[in-house]
Amino acid sequence: MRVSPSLRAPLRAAAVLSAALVLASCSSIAPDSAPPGTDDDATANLEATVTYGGVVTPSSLDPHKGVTENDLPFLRYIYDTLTTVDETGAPEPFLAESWELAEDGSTFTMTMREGATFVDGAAVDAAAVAANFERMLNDPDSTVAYVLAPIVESAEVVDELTVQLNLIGPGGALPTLLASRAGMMVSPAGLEDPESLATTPLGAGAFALNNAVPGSRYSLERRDDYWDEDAYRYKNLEYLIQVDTATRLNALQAGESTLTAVVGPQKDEAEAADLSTWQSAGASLGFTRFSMNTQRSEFEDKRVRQAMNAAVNREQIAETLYSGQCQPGAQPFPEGYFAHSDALDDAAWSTYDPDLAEELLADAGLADGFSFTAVVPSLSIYQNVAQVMQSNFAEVGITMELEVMDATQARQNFVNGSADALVGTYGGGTDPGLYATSAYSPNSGDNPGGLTTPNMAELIAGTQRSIDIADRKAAYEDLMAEVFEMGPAQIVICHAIGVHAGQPFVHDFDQSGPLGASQGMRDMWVSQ
Amino acid sequence: MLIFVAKRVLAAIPVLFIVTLLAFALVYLIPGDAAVVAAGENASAERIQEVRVQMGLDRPAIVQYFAWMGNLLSGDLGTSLISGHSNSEAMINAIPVTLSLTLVALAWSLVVGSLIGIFTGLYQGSWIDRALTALTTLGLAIPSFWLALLLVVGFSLQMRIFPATGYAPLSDGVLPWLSHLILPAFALGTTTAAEIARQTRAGVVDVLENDYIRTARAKGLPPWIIVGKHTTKNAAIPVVTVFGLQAAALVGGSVIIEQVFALPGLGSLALRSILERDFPVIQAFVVVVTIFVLVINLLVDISYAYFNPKVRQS
Repeated sequence: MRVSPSLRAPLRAAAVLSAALVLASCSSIAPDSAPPGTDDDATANLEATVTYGGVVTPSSLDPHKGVTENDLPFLRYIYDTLTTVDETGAPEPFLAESWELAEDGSTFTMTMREGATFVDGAAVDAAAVAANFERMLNDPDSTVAYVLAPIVESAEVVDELTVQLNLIGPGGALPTLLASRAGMMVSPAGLEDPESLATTPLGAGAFALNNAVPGSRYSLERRDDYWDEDAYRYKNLEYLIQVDTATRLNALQAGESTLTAVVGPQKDEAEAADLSTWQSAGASLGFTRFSMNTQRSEFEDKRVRQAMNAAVNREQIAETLYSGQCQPGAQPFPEGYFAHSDALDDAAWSTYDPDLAEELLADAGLADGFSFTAVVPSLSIYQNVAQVMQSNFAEVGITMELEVMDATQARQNFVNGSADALVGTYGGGTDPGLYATSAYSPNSGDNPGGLTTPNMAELIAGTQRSIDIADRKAAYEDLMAEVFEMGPAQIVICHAIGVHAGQPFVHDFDQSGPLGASQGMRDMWVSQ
Repeated sequence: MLIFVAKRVLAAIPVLFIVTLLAFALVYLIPGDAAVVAAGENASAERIQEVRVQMGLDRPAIVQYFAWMGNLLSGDLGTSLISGHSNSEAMINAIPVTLSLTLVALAWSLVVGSLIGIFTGLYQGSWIDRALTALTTLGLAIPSFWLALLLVVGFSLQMRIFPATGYAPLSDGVLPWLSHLILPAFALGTTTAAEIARQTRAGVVDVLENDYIRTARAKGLPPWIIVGKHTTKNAAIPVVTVFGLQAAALVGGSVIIEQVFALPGLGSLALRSILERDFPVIQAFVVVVTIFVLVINLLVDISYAYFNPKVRQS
């Protein structure tokens, strides 16, 4: 299907609704303002049932076999991770109280929290952690092996609470990687009966799964023996899957749910219905992007890629298609996050400047423009972004044909090198290295054209050598400088800004930080 | 009658077999496969191929088909490629929801549609006939999802009479079960009710012009016997045909309605599995829905035989 180059005003509402599917699970960085209607005299109802309107059905309740980061917000209720991250993305203790990377980088040693237990009562000790690493690295169905295997060779027990990872790659990223799927620990009993984990999860999280109707409803009950008594100050959590954005808000307005993510004008609608809303002041790690195959069309030329960055009106897309709930920027990591480069002057890439774009195209010998075809997933938000970009490119003489197709097929066509470009989103993760490796290493999923530089592999490795967050930030500044000197093959459009709406009796919900609403659900309490 | 039913059941077996074959072939016509989804968001082409091999998706299609059919014949609907859950369990969870929704939608649409059809047929040309015919036109034209949203705003958010979302199983009680189904069933069954009303009206008008009705009137039979005994039964055959077709269509329509009301039925399951390229779930869904449609068709055939003895004899 080909779409003619034009902007269509009615697309706006549909775009905002569709955005929930893509960006609702994204997290936020900066703290938010207090919710309206907070009653200072209210007290926490520790016996309350909180009903959350979720979007994504977990692909598996076995954390080592799930296929998407979108699972993680739900899995975090059941599975605690070895580490967690703060609002800037810096690692903090969680199941592991402390860790140390050997000076020669050959080992990474963690000391586990005393008293933490799995839902079946087993201790979260060094033996359990070592057994989990054994499984994650060696199970042929493990979906985290590709993350860990380049870094960790094996795990061994030092003493009851100390476990040592023997490394074959730079281990500096482990503290942030272990705040995600790779850090979710499964009870030894679950490891012995792995088939059962898909339906009977055995984690060290705050909640036990009582009942589940996959794809519809998950009923969880808080564990009395959970190690952090300040977390999740309510008894039950009903996690509903409500794919449609309007349905989620309807359920909230009807009093059938306590809290849910909202998009675009739904925030105003919720406030008009006397519901509380929370919008993060900063942007999330998830972003909308335009990916180019640098072996196709004219994308091999850095001047062309820069021209296309300058031709895109990010502010227009953020305001028109996301109702302002998206922060424009050219860097893949948002301001406030440790991997964002404050030192980099990216104005020549991030500023909307059609004149500069035309100059760059003329320098590249393309004064008359050129044509290419972008594959676009059939969700309306992708199509709308693509059409705005199509219009932007047309202003500087670039003809972008759109080929709308199923999302999986679009992704497949781009990865296997048969598409010029792809419009899509990136979901974000607790470690920025996953994106850096995928986007800047040759022949990786996000870089089918193989665009890289001689220094790139070393610079990526440099971001993973130290566990010190200041060292890593400096390394990412070097990496970003190299990336923009090279001219990235992905145009970052804007980073999503998370918004939630909830009942007025919800207190202290704060979706700040890379963990977004997951952290908010941990800290919040309800007075009814 | 038993022989008639047995013949129809036997005729359904090759249909079911052909449908399984087509369903399997159709899955291969859908671009992309589960390996792309299962490999994760940043996977390279090599990683996707590794996952494809792990999932057995690299085997020849015919091998996969016969492996699937073998399991199917032994009652095993397979396992989800993505979640690892049993498809049988997923179907057992989803079928009661969709069946409840479809039955309630069919029930109200049959009752209301038939009554409107009989009434307008008996009083054809009157102002009430024209008004109700206009109403049925509206019923045919209005999109079910839009009607669903209007119903939610009116009856859930404003008047707070019915729940806006969710499903309560029959084990929770008849009232909770019904209260969760009324709005979605009304939205789903509106087109069916309108269609049945149209067909019933046409049938009644047609039958009323027959000689035997004139004779019945001439004999001085009371109107309720003329309508109840001689008119409705003879006008019912085209209505039954429409009813059968609409029953199958309602299963398709439930996909959208289940999304609007967050009902965990077959439609939601099918949509999710299609998006995830979860072939075993799609195939199990097709088999279950095919059996459902075949059963409906069988019931329609049996009802033909009831309404028209000539069919039985043939």
